[in-house]
Amino acid sequence: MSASGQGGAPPHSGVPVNGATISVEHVGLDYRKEKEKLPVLVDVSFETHKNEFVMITGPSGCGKSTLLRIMGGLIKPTSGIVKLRDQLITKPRDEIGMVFQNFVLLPWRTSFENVMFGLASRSDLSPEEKKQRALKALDDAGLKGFESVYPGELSGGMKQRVGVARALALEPHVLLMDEPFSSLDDLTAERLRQEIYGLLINPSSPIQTVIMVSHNVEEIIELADKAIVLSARPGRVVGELKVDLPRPRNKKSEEFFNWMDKVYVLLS
Amino acid sequence: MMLALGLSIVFALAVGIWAARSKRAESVILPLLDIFQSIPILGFFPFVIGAIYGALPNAIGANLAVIILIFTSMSWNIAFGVYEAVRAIPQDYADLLNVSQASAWQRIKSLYIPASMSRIAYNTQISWAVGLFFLVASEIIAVGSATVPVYYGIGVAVASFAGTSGAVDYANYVLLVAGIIVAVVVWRFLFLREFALWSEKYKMMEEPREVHQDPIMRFYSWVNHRSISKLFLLAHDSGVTRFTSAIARFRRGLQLAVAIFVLSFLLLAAGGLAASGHLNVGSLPTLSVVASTEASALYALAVSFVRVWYVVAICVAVGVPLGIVVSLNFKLYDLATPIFEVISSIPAPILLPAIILIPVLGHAPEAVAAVVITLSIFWYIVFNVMAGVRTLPADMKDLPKVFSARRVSAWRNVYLPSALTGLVTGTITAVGGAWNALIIAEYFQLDPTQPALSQVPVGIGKMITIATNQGNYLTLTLAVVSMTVLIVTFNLTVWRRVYHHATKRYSYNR
Amino acid sequence: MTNWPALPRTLVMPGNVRSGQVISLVEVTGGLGAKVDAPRLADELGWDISVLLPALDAAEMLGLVRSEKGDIFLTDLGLKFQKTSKNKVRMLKDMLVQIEPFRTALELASKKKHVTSSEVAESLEERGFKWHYMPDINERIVNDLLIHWSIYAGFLGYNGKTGKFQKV
Repeated sequence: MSASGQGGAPPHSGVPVNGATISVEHVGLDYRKEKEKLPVLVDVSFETHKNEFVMITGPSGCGKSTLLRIMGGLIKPTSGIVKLRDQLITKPRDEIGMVFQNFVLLPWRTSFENVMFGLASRSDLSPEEKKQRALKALDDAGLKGFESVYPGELSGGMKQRVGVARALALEPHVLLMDEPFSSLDDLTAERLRQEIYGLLINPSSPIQTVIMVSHNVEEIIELADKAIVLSARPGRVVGELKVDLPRPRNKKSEEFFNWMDKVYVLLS
Repeated sequence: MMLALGLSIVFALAVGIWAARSKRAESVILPLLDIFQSIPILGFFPFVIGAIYGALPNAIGANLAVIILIFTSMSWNIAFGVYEAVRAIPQDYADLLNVSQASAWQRIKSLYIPASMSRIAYNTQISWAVGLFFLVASEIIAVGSATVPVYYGIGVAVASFAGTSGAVDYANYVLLVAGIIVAVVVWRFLFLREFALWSEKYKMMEEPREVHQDPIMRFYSWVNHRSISKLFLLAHDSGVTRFTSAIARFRRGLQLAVAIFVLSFLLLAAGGLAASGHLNVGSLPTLSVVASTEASALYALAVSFVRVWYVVAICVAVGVPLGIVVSLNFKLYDLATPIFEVISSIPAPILLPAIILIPVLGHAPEAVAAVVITLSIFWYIVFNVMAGVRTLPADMKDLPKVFSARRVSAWRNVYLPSALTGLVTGTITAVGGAWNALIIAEYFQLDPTQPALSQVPVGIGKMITIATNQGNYLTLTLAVVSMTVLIVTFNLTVWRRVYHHATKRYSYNR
Repeated sequence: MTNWPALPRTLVMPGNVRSGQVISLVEVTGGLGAKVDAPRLADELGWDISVLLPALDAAEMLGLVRSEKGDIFLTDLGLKFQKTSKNKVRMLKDMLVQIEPFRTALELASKKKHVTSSEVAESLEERGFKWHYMPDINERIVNDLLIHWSIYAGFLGYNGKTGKFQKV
């Protein structure tokens, strides 16, 4: 997966080099069922920065996917705010792209049409521009030649590539990913992990931050610059680890295992 | 009603288990059930009545005929349910019984019946409403036919209130209808729901309970089983797109099934004619009479065909947006579902006298017919669309939000396609229901001595009803046969293709 | 031992092998020094035999590895393959088009402008090749193979709406 901004995108304005891209400030979410109030997330705060790969993890049901959706503007938090640089996030925006665990592609549309669906809201672009963006996104996602293929005919890895292409077509600055590789076999997942990381550090790609939810501790240490660990429901931040292992990371090294242990400790 | 239900269940068990266990039986039984499921039952009622009443010309015979009719409306669907339930039994259980050398009866008692129980219970819920429809409809027909005195029953009550003086006895009628509504609702909660919940304990698989508390989802699975040829459903499930050896088997079975069906119909017709004393060689009609009768039958059929389709079109045009909108909004869904459930359990024929009263409609029999048909079939479409949308994964529903899609784009790309398969199965069932409803809707007469309260100028339903009332077996046979041939052919050809295309591209499976 | 003359053998791609697997196989073998024994390879990849053996067959057919007495070696082509970074599968085009179902697909697509996987499957079946005894499943396997290999290799294009492959 390669990426380049559309015709030499200008450097992202308004961000001091080490400024936060996403900041989550005291976010809490309560779930209302009948008359009861069930807290799902409590006082979650953290920041993400440019060129940071952030992993969010926690036991099942701790609300990590919900947190991701709050960051994406899909759910409104009961308390607290989320900011993209200095702007409040209250609804989905083009700068924040989303990739799902189950791909969530429209089965009745081809890959190209699926990516175009993502671009539909961009009335500032002409149809020809949209078409070019879509084709390019698919190419960058490694799917050149598959534009007219339906999701049903694609393998899991390829479907996820379409999902990524769809998100990339909007040239987001932040990529939110909800356990994107958990339904894929190891090797495909590994390949995609490397490609996503490549997208992050590639200076000509618009993506500045990747925030991924994961259950897979090995994946977490392999990718994370920062790992946020949540407690069981209601989810609170129990740890924020700055993983400073040099890359490329050796999954069999002792340091790697040590880091994995640190995560396990926080998880239990 | 209960008798019919009991009969249905027994029949369904017998047939369903047989079909599930024997491949050869399966290849004949399934197509046979399919055909029976799609024929317009009310059209055959006169023959059933003729045959049985002819043999037992008394109250028992009359009621038996009604029971049999209701049985035919319910049993095929329950049989399919049994078949699928038995097929779904994990191999382990079957092996267990083999190893322990259980006898056939033990097998049935301890494995097949419990396994089918929950399917039966759920199918009953909706089959009940269907049965009720036919109950009332058949009683009304019977009353109209003047030859068959049916003494007890809702339909009779309706008829009696309405017909005594040529005008409708409003006060009593309203009370009756209200009473029926209450009874239906209460019955649903007392018996049907309890039956379903009780059968839950026989469930083998871990299925989330919530799905089954939801009446729309239950309806969906029912209609799915009821609709078009099971051949397609089975083929679709196993991912088979062309004919394979299994389908080839079904093809042969289909031919045999058609043969059986035609034969049994002929027997029934002959039985009816003989019993009522109409069959004697001397008075066989001439060819020209047959031809002209058939011609008018075909004309009536054509008119009715158009009628069915425009009513279905209206139902689709209204039902699809309604279904989608209601399903997308949780509050609306919870509010609307019980209301829909109640309204859909009221058998439309009961409301006929009331409909005629509505000033505008009273003088527009076409509109009356349309309204009656709509009331009967609207729910098939709405519920199916709702279920289709409900099965959509949450993330997919959010997709338009994630990409800030405009409403038109969201509907065109996400909501409408997701409703499509449900819509197809719903429409297929609705069309089938419409044909049945026609027979009541096109010609409504409560007191044989008075002119009809509502009748359309031309229609096959009207033709059939009048023929029944007059005992005109020639017209009746030709009309019913023509109608059946049209419906069955349509089912086997057009619907199959439509269903195939819809599910190939539009079903959501990961 | 008598040396029997080599019989012309039709190469057939196993139905469940995908290009990604072959890529991984070559990469891992290369990473272990271009020579590895089969059990070790299976271990490193985390595959069981039902996945490894067909993938090995495919890799051999494509000329990327050769196996000798249970050891697997990268060929020169394999080494080159491992080092290529962009669109590896394109490199395999020449080898792929000698393997069924790709050979027949390309042949038919050249003759008729487009071809469906159904036609390819039928043509192969007439000559005695199939992956599964049920025609529908066989067709699906052919479709999957064509989609997963020939597009990446760049010799066929596919239009999902018509179900047709055409020569690129």
